[in-house]
Amino acid sequence: MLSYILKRLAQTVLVLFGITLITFILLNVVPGDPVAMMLDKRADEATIEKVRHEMGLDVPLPEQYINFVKGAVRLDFGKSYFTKENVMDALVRSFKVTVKLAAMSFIFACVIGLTCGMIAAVYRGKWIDSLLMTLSMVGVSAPSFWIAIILQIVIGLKLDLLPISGFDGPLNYILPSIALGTRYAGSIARITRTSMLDVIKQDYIRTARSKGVKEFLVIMKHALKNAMIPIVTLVGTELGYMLTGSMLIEKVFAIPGIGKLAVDGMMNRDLPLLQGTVVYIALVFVIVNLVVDISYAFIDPRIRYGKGGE
Amino acid sequence: MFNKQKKFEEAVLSGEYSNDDIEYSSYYKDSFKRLKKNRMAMVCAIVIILLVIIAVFAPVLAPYDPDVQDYANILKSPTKAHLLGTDEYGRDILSRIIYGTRVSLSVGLLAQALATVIGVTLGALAAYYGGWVDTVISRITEIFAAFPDLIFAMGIMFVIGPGIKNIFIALGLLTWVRTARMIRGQILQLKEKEYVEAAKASGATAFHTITKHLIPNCISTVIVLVTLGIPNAIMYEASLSFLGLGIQPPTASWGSMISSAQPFISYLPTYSIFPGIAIMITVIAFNIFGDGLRDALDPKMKN
Amino acid sequence: MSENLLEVKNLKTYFFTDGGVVKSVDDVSFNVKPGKTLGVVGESGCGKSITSLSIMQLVETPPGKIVDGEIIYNGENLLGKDKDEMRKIRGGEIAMIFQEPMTSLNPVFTVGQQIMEALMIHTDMDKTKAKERAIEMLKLVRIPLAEKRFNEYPHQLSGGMRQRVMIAMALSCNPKLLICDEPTTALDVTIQAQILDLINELKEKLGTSIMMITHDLGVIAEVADDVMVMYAGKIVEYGTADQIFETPMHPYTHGLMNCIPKLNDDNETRLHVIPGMVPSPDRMPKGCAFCPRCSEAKKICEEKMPELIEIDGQKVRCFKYTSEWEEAK
Repeated sequence: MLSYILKRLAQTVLVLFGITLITFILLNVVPGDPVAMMLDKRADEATIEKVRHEMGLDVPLPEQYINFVKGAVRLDFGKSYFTKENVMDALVRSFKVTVKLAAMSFIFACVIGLTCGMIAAVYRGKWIDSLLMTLSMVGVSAPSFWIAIILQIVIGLKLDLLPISGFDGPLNYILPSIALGTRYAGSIARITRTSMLDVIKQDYIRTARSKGVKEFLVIMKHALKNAMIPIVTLVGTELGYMLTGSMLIEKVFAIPGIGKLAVDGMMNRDLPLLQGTVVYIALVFVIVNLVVDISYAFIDPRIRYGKGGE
Repeated sequence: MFNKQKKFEEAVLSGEYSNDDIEYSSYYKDSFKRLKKNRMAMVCAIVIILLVIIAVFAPVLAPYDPDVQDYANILKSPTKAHLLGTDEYGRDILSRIIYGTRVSLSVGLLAQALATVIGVTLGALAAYYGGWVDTVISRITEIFAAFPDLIFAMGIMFVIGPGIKNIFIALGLLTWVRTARMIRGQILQLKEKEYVEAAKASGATAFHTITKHLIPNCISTVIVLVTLGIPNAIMYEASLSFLGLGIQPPTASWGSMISSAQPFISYLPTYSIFPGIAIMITVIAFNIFGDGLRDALDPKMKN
Repeated sequence: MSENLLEVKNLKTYFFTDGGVVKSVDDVSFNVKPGKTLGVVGESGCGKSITSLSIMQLVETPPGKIVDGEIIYNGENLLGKDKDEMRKIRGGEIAMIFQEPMTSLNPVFTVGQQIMEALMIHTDMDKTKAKERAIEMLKLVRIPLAEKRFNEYPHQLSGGMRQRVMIAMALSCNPKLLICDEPTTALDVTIQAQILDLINELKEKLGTSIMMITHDLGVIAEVADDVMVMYAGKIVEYGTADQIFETPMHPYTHGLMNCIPKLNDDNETRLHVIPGMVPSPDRMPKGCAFCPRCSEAKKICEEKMPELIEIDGQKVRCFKYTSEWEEAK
């Protein structure tokens, strides 16, 4: 297991190189000069040159990239061109916000999604199945930013129950979490149902029933554990999305999370900020995928013991 | 729907029903029959046809020119003259939603067309040739799949600039990966079939084998992928436009309408609600119809 | 208490599918005597498995449904029981082992956990006792290194081992009736014999009645006291094992007999097969279901379904043994 993890981490380093290189090249081929954007149009040649030198942009491109990599290994992505804030500080600051939002929407999505999916699978073909699947279809089909606005209008403005923006107290996070989580809850519900129905057809479920196991336990013990692998895969990806920030939800609720950082980096051609964010995003996905893979081994002994037996 | 089973059982037991009344037919006829039985999918098919009609006949159906500003009627609630109200420039919201149908459907369709061309070509090549071709193509799909979709789409839009043509390209580049993977998997299986071996043995060229024997057998997969890919593309377009990276004003798009409505949610909430309903109906219709299509074409996948 | 442990009367289990109605079990009656083995024979799709699942009430509903009949176990009609009462009977009173040992055990739980589960449902054993009993059962079905196997997962065992585990699990709560649905079909020939011997031996030791479902008359010859031959959801012949093997009456039973390769056959003799296939269950012929494959069929066989008649205690569904036969062309 340890060698597997080390191998995965080595792969990660390669992926990070690739992604940052692509970002670097893309930003340098896009027309427009970040220095000119930063400074006033009236700025004279000398000033521009001076700023260029300060930003390390007066050396050849390959050297610029090497300098970036040298910094990145020490977790130093430099200063934002635009706000002059240290990129690492900005990442930490935004992460603190994003992680709260992600945690709440993740719990919301998992609880609602798993419950609805299992109920629908157990009562397949009944009215409650149709109702839950229709709701989940609405959940995955409504744009999250629109759900966010509807929540603001109904719960924030009309009923005046919760704040519609800001990010100070836990109450501020309720509406954004629901708005962000709804879509994920819908897809978790759908995959849970499909996966459970798949498992319920299996012979060993019939065996469990033939032993006289209570139907509730047949579902919760015998079926659910076998149905977990596709569910965990989806949930993992979704956690990755949540942790890398939702630009849409952050925009609606004016939350300064990772998503906003990515948008700012792109809009302002702020290479250090963008590179920092990109590295963060790639890392999150690598870690999440690794955790998902390791969790497979806990769920399924066939993976834990390798493909032994017959 | 739930009484149907009961009625069926009663009919059998009372002797009114006999299996002799069943007709047997071909795969596509069977699939079509299964699809027709799926009432939800049929309703959604009708909704999709209506949406297409709205998009095509937008100039006839829209009560106003969607871009004409009327400063005497700014941010009005729904009235008889303006059924869904007016926006901050006094433009008719209903007319803008009707014209928005054009944007959404064409983005969905063209992005999927591009994704299908790229995906089917690369998927078929990877599966047919295997070896290093497969390795290279599979690595490329992995890199494309590794990034969060919306950030990826934003990145492409940022590099190639906003505008409707570029949205097709960005979304096409974003969504071909799934098609390529599915087609690759399916062709890997088909390749083992006797008739493909026979075609190869009788000296058919690779191009001939791929286009005449392999791809035609993936048609139902492609149909399902396109139908389910369209709502996805529509959703991305709406999201990009909402972020200001998609369709540029004054062209009406559902996503950008919600974006411009956002400052007015307390003053005129209906302004932001209606375009969202349009997105939701369209996406649901394509999703349910696509699911129905998949179930009908491949009964084994049905739950 | 009646002399039969299980009496099934006029059982009808139908499947209501998109493709029409399938009468998987159509008016089937039979008995299982205490301590005896009933063999049920027929090709796949003839309704044997659905009959056994109907007794356990494990038929997938919908599309399947027991539409009529009685299943009387120990004098009580099981079809009148509620879910909870039925659950206590399953595994406790009537246990079942299935055809596919590879897929019938849950892959994510250890063998021991799965045997203990049945014990903890049906007896008041605590964990330690259940574990002792489970290991004892594993030894009883002759699994070597029972203590070690107890902690292993199904994928670590061979097919024959898994079927032994299934038997251990099924017998752990001392059921009075054990239903074996093709228990040896998926196994190698040598393992088949071992498993059959084991089932026979345990029957003697524990006094369990057995309902043995198989497509293989050879298996029946090894274990059965009574034999029921099914074809297309109906009983075509029913009698004691001696009757069936000595005086088979139905042409289908004859056909099945001829399919068994005999030791004294010389190499020239080709293996017999019954021509044709079981009719598609939703496309049954109007008359006798076996008629299209029957070498002796007359016109009357195409026109109507013969009744099950009794001749010297042996039941058969064929016009050959009726007065109508002589008159028919």
